[in-house]
Amino acid sequence: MSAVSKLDVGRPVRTGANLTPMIDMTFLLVVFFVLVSRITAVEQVPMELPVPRDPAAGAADDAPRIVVNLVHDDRPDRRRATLEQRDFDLDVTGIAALETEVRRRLLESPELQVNLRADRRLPYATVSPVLDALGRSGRGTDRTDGVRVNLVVIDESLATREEDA
Amino acid sequence: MSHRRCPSSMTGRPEKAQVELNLTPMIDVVFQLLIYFLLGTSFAVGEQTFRLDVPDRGASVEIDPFELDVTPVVVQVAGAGRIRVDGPWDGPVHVDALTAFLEARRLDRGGLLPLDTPIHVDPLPDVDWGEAVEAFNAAVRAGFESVGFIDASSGTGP
Repeated sequence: MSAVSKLDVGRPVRTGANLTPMIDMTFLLVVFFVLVSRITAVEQVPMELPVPRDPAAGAADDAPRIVVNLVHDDRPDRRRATLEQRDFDLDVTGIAALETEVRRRLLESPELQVNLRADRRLPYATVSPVLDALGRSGRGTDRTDGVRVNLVVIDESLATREEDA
Repeated sequence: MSHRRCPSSMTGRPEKAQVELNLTPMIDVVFQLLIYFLLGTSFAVGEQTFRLDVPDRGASVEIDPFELDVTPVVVQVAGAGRIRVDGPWDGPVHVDALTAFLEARRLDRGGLLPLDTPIHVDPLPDVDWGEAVEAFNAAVRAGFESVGFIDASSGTGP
């Protein structure tokens, strides 16, 4: 692109868009999405969530939340709970530590909810103590109705529709 | 990269070559990557949630002496789809029939159970979590507002 300079008549002036800021921004966006997709992969532990028929569950709202994963393993002693990349054994000590950690977070954020993603192959005897501990974690946090726990399930019809899209 | 010659033949000075990077293909590729990640990033495919207020079962609760004692409906989950609903009725034996059974007993559908009747899902300890959630879902789908799980160790309701 060129134009004629008004200051120095006759001398061609080269004009052009400065693309550097745009490239900077684009690279920042690329780096952001690469990192976010990796973080999501780490936080979303592979597991088989319950798939109830014709679920009456709803979409998650925008309230702040933490995610507790209960991961299945064929060996019962290797089953564990995870909360933001921290592992908790599913014995008495581990569940007490999980309760303390969740309580600390509930105290920090009054609106905080807990998403419980439990593998559908786990026996109820494994899930129930964790559910109980989540209820106890609300002790001293002024939650008169209890701790809001969202049981995460898969709506198969939605999942199939999104995969097809 | 492209080389350009300056129009310097009039000045008599030696010509200088200008070196420039052609950024257009790189920007094209970067935008393609950006669109790929925008479309390809999906966080939770098909995930839905049941909202549950889990109380502290060990906490002391003030009992209102004037409040009527509401008897909960206990749905026992035995595994492989088998359930039992104790009460003055011929209850369903399979989880598939649970929603229709509970719907028929709703007060607004000619039954005797108000919508706030507590429904306690009581899975056996070795029943899979998936089956427990299936029974829970059936009770929620029937329209009852207070559905919860019974504690496996103490047998107390939510």
